[in-house]
Amino acid sequence: MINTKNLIKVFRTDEVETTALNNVNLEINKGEFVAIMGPSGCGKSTLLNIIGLLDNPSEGELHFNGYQVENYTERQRTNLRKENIGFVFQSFNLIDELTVFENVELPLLYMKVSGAERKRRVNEALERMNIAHRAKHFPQQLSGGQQQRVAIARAVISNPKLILADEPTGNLDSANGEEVMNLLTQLNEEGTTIIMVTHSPSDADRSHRIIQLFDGHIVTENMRQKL
Amino acid sequence: MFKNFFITLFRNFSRNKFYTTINVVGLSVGLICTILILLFVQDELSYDKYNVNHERIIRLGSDFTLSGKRDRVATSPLPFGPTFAEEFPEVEQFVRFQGSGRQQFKYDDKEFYEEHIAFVDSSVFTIFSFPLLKGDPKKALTQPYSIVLNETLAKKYFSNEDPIGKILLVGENAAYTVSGVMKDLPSNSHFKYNAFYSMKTLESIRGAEQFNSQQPISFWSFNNYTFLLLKENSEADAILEKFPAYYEKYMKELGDQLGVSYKLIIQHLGDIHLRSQLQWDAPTGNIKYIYILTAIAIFILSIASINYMNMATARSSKRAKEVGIRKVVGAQRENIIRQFMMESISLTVFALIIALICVELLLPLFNQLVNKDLTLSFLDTPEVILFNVILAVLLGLFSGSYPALYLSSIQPVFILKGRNGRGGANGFLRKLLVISQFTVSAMMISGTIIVASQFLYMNSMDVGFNKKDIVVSVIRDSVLRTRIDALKMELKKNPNIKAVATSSSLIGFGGSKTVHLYESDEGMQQYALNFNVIDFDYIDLMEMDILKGRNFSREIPSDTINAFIVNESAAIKFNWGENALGKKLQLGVEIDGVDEGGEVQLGEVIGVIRDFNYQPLKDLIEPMNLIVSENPDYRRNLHVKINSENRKETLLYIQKVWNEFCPNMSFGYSFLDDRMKENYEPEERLTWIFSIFSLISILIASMGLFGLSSFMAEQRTKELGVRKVLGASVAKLVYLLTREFIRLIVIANIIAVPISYWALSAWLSDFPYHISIGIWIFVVTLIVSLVIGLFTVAWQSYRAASSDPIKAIKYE
Ligand SMILES: Nc1ncnc2c1ncn2[C@@H]1O[C@H](COP(=O)(O)OP(=O)(O)OP(=O)(O)O)[C@@H](O)[C@H]1O
Ligand SMILES: [Mg+2]
Repeated sequence: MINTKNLIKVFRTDEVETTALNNVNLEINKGEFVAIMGPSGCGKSTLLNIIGLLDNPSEGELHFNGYQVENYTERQRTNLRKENIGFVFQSFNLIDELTVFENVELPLLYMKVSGAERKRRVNEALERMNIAHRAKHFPQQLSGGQQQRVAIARAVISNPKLILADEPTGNLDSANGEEVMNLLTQLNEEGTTIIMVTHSPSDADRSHRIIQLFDGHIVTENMRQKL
Repeated sequence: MFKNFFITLFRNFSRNKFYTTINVVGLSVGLICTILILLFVQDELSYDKYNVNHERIIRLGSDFTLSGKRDRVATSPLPFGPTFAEEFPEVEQFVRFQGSGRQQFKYDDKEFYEEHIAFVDSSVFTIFSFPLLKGDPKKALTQPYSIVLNETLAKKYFSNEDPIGKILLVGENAAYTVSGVMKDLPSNSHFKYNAFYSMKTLESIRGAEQFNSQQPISFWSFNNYTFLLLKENSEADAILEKFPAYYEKYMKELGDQLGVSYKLIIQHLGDIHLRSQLQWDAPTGNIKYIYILTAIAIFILSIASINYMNMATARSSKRAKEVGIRKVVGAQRENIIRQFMMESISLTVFALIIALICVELLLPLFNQLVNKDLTLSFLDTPEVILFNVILAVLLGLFSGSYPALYLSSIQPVFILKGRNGRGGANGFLRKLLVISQFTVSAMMISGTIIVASQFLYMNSMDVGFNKKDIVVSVIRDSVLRTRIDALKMELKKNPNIKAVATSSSLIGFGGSKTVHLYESDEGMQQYALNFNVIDFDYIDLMEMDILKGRNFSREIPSDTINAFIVNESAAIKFNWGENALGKKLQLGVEIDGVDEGGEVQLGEVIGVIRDFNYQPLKDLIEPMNLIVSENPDYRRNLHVKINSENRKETLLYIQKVWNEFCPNMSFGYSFLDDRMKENYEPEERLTWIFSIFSLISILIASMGLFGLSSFMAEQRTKELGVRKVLGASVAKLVYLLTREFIRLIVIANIIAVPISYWALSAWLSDFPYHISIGIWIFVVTLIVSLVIGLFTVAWQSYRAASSDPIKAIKYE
């Protein structure tokens, strides 16, 4: 599903040049659950953003679902992204001015889904994330775990084939983290490919494979036995 | 999509009440000013356009130069109408207006003075759209001594009676039959007439032969307003092209004899109000003021719009997260742009609604200020309202464009990392916007100061005579004119009356002009010289200075026959230098050796008087000549100099004496200085308009500054907290926060100086007597902007600086 060749990402700020990714070669297959680990600043989020088509690599190739996308324009990336990829972030990233329902509905608005259909799908997703009773609340009125469940509902609303999660449990206590991990695992079992950045070994244990990044390089790839 | 958008919009607005309020108030006030100005401008532009034929109606004016002195007048000779109709196939009809001055009307026991009446040809109602409520428009003015009244006058004299056929007594011995009632002329008419006498009346007074005379001399007296209705598809230029042949035929011979050159002026009816710069014209508008007002409206709107941009971008870091999230979940750039555009358009449309309501409430006040009767309604002014809706949308697009483009360009990765990406990048632009706001404000402040100073200056400058405490009244009664000496004696019995004098022209309003001959090395030369016929007490009453020679004297009877007092300008113009006294001067010339009116007077200069402004201050002092006469015909204006105390009693006394002398005409008076102020009414009005609008523009700009500074203070709360913990004083922190704004205001003022200087010099150059633009004006402007700016910023800064540092540090 995803294939990278000698991926390089260099950030230039004024005089400083940071090489966040250096010759990353990676292959992720459909249905996999991959965890990316590594010390802070080693380029995990950068990699995730590039895979998630939020950013373009400086050099190298990126294949997504058979398309070669590293030179896509912002418009092309957005089109591909909104159909295929869902995101979950450490800091939830919900819009404060929108209710739970409206936040989850957002991706469908940009996909021009009809009102009735939107309503059905949002309710279904909220049901599934066990947060339907909070549909009319605003994000600040929810606990962190609840907010992350809303974020996951939003990530899955468009039935993406790939979910990218950047430290999804980073801001949660262990109970809530556990719940979020259960949801992700469940999604993976239903066929969604998941790539997750995490610092937590126990979360990483849920994955099929762990990719260790260090200073922009992949150091090890650990195949794990499917649980 | 729409629903979602409006939801975000309203939640955003209500969560940021402070900023939303500042924006809405700023935009509303800006729109209020614009709508008011627009209504004003639209009204000014609509003058005389209510006439169905207005595009085919032209007015004939005269541009003539007599002995080097050029005059451009709105009037033309009496025979122009009929001869033009004969000579030029383009002309369909003509109509002439000849003003008649103030007259007393009488019906039964109702007796009043009426103004704005003219003798007109009967074609007036076919050419102009002056609808008749009663009477036949074709016949109403065909008979001598018929009169058409407007509705107001008809009501005033005849209440509910039918006025048609009634006899109205006019003046001392004329009786007119009312033959029609017309609707009051609309306020956007350059004509102000309340009634029309038939032109036939003049014909019967003067005799048909003389009235219809096409003798050369009749072509050289410009005492009519002549209007022509052109045939469809005819061009006024065609008449101008053919005019030289006409001139050759009717005017050239005598013109050459008199040494006059003549040019025809053709004005379209629609241009008269705003673009006519002729003498003897009705009080008109001025296209310059239209430009000035339009510029002010644009200024104020741009200040309000900049406020919006400033605050929207200043708050962009708060909105950036939302943009990032929307992009991550699939929003294209245009989705984001559309969202922010719609947001600003909704805001401006909302502001427009508020503005329309406020305009409705403010119109009576504004009407008073501009002396108009403007209304705002879908019925009367649909185009104004439509225009404003479009304007609001455009304003929204404009205001929203920068925030929208800026915010939509934010990359999602930047935001999701918790960084604000390019948070500082728009700092420069924000500064630029603040500078441009304060540049405009500074220009408005300097404008106000200059316009007000010029106005004060014209009111208080040394005009060469003392205009204080002089009661003036027009003497219409010819009997009273013969009894002036007795009236003077009676008036002077009151100790509060210092002097009484008469003159033919009222000082400050120009005078009469006629051809003179003056002595020069090359013999007697012609010159068209202004003159005023005064009495022996006039110069003393006016406290004018005689520089050389002597005043007229009762003791020297020949003074009334052959003595002249000229002003300094005349002595200089005639190259008399120091030797003006005794020079020969002749008033009037004989035509073909004949003294037509018996008015030629040859004499010598007995005095030179210090220049005084007998014309409005819009004109430089021209050479002039004073003549003393005992002919009652010249005693048209009565001047009574009174004590500045006990005014009321003195006026009552004058009135009492007047009534004794002239029981059938009531005493109408005004003070000379008040009368002279009327000349500067446009300037006075402009002063007010400038002051009000500049105040508003500063207000809007400070509101923006207030919003911006509170935002910046808020953003720097943490920094301030840290500084405070490290020992910075409140004063130091306030300085830190305000320093930047002070710099911006100073820069804005520096930019404004040359622009203001240029614009204001251009405005002042129209006035021959004007103030000079001193440095002090810009210094005062700077101080005013700084005080206002500092006051606005300092409060927010002080609040931020004096808050509890612990709280501040915790602030996220
Ligand atoms: N926009 C940017 N401009 C400049 N440098 C950047 C930018 N984004 C990331 N970097 C740099 O690239 C490197 C990788 O950053 P990245 O965010 O991918 O690290 P990370 O592994 O996700 O760290 P963490 O575990 O702390 O989230 C870091 O050195 C970071 O400073
Ligand atoms: Mg990271």
